[in-house]
Order: sequence, then C-alpha cells, then structure tokens
Amino acid sequence: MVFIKKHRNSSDEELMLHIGNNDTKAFEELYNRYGKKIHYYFFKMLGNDKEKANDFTQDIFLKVIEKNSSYNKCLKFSTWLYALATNMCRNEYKHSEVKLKHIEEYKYTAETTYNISFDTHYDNKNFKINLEKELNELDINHKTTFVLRYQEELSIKEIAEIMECAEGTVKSRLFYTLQKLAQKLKVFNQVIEKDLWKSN
Amino acid sequence: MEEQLNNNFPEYEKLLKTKDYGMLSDSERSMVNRFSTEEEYSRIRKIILSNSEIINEEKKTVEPDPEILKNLIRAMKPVRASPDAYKVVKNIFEYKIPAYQFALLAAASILLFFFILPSERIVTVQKPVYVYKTDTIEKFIVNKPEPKVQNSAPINYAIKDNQVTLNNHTTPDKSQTSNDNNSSLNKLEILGINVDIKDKIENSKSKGWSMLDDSSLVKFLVKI
Repeated sequence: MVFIKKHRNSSDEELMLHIGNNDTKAFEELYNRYGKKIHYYFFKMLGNDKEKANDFTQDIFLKVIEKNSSYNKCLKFSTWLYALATNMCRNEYKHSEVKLKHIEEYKYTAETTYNISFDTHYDNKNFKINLEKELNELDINHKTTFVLRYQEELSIKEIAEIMECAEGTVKSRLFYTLQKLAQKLKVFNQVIEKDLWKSN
Repeated sequence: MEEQLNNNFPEYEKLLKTKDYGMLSDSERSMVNRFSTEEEYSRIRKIILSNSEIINEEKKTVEPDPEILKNLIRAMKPVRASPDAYKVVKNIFEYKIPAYQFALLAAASILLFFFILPSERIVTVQKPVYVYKTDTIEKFIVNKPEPKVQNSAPINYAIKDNQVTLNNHTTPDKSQTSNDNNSSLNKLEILGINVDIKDKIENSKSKGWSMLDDSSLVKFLVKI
C-alpha cells in the first residue's frame, strides 16, 4: 500500500517520537537496529550469560516504551540507550556477583606454559579464554570502558557521555585496562613471540 | 604523562590496531615508547586483535530470543490503550505524508470526479406511468428528472377505495371525500413523486368504468 508509513529512513529520535504515539512499527524498527547490539553488550558485561542477557534486553526495551516521555530529544538515542544499559549493569554488579559462564577453565602456571605444545590454534584458544577471564575480573568502570570502546566501537566522546565523565578519564581508563591485561597475560609471551615469528 | 596520554592516545590506539612494533617508523616508535615497552606493545596489540576475533566468532551465535520482540509489542499496546484525545487531534494535524502521496491522492480524486460520477448524473428520462382503475389501465408518459439507472422499472399505481397503491406499497390517499367536482388538487407523494389527482374517483358514477365512458375518463386525470 502506498500510504503505509515507512520507518527505515527515519532517525532514531524520530522513531522515539512515533513510539510515544503507540506506533508498533516504529518500535520494531528501533528494536531491529539496536536489539542485537544491546543484547551482546549485556552478554559480555554479565559474564557471557545468555539468559540474563535476554532478560536485560527485554527490560531495557520496556523502559524505552515506558520512559519514552522522559527521553531527552537533544541527546543522541544510542547514547541514552547505552547509558541506561550501563546503569542496569552497575546495579546488577552491586546486587550480585557476576560470574563468568560457559568458559572452559584453564589453569596456567609457569611450568605449564613451558611444557605447552606450540600448536598455534590451541595457544590462541587458551589466550582468548584467559583474556575473557581477566576481562571479567576487571572492575565495572574499566570493563565498561573497554567493552564500549573495543566491542561496541563507540568514540571516546560517546563513552564519556554514557559514563558521565571527562574524555581524559576515558582515555586513562582504557590505557590502564590495556596495561593491566597485558600484565596479567604476561605468561603467554611465547604465544606472542611465535605469532611475531610467523608474521615475519 | 596525563597530558601526553590525552593528546596521543588515539594515535597510539590506531598503531596498536594496525602495525606490529617492527613496522613502526622512527617517529611512531618514539611516541609508542612513551607509553610502553616493545614487549608490552606486542602484548597489548595481541589483546586487542584477539578480542576482535572473539567478538566476531561470538556474534555469529549469540542472538536475542525472538520471543522478546513479541512480548514487547504485546506489552506496548495496553500501556497506551486510551490515547489522549488532544494528542490524537494534534497528531492528525501534524501528520506528514510525502508530497508524491498527496499528488497521487489529488489525481485519484480528479479521476473519480470525471470518470465515475458522470454515470450517476441526473438526467431527464421518459418513464411510463400506469394507472390502474377497475377494468381499466391508463398509461401516461412523463418526463421526470432522476438519476440514470439502467432498466428501471416503470411506475405502477393502482387506485382502489381511495387508496393509491404503488408496487404493493400502500400509501394514504389524501384526496377529499366531498362530492365537489371542483376539488382542489390533492397531492400525493409516493416515493418522491408528486401525484395530483385532479378529480376524485368518488365522483364517478359507480364502480367500474369502461373505455366507452369518455366522460369518466376525462374526469380522471393523474398529473405527475
């Protein structure tokens, strides 16, 4: 039909206006744009827990419907949404211990790494497992900054708005997080050297 | 250090994502060395690249439950079940449609007016009117303006006992009961058609007329 409203070309802020008028098609379009992103954000922030990620995704979009009138139109919608998501994660961290789920446990020591076979695939896999483990053990602010920057690929400015801090603070947190992770994963130096040898 | 971090961190990050330590130019290397050693640089680069690989792998399999959207739409409707009347009226006036849709609507309206409505224009048609009296049927041809309808049935009146019957519908006869020959015109409205009975049937001699009785025929005239 010619006169059916099409929301594909509407901005996020325009869609929010339509949602305020009970337009389910506008809401569906907004969900299609951000549902998967937000779900993955929750998945990483809440210890790779799919069930919790589903619950939180549903909750946040319910808030989008209910708090539609309180949405500040001057603020970019994605910034507002991620700020809401970050606050939800902060509350979850306060009330319960977020444990990493569905990650294989691999305990490493200096001896283990010395005896490890130099199969790149196996070493890389272990590196990734331990990276996830270490990421999950970061405090909420550093973890949020890292996830928003290297997973959601937001700019420093956007992260500063979401976390309500200065851009300099965001940069410091990122740098500190990278250095801390590098320190914790020092034991995997052999993996890195092998990669460098292969790339040369 | 803080100031250097503020100014150079974006560039430092960019190098981490794109170049190994061995591929850095002299100026780049001197900038990197302000933040980390070669070993640290390599480890951090590995962390960033591995993190990207983890994300790319997980995004293929990690998806939200499809029931979430259905639940949300279901939840949406009752919340706004009774919209504010003022808002509804305001939205009607603020409703925007693209210009091409408006142009299409205007063109469709014009086409409707020119091609469809003329078939319903009022035209003057000749309709046969049959007046039934006892043993006699009189036919009058009248010119009457009405909507053009194909195969419209002729109008049939039957007059009996001061009742005018039209196609089985009985309407009250408002004609006078006096024996006055100069009775005023009585108007009878039957489905929008004014029927003037110039003279009353009661003035006739007796029940039943024949075609031979011209005077009776002359008396009885139905004017439409």
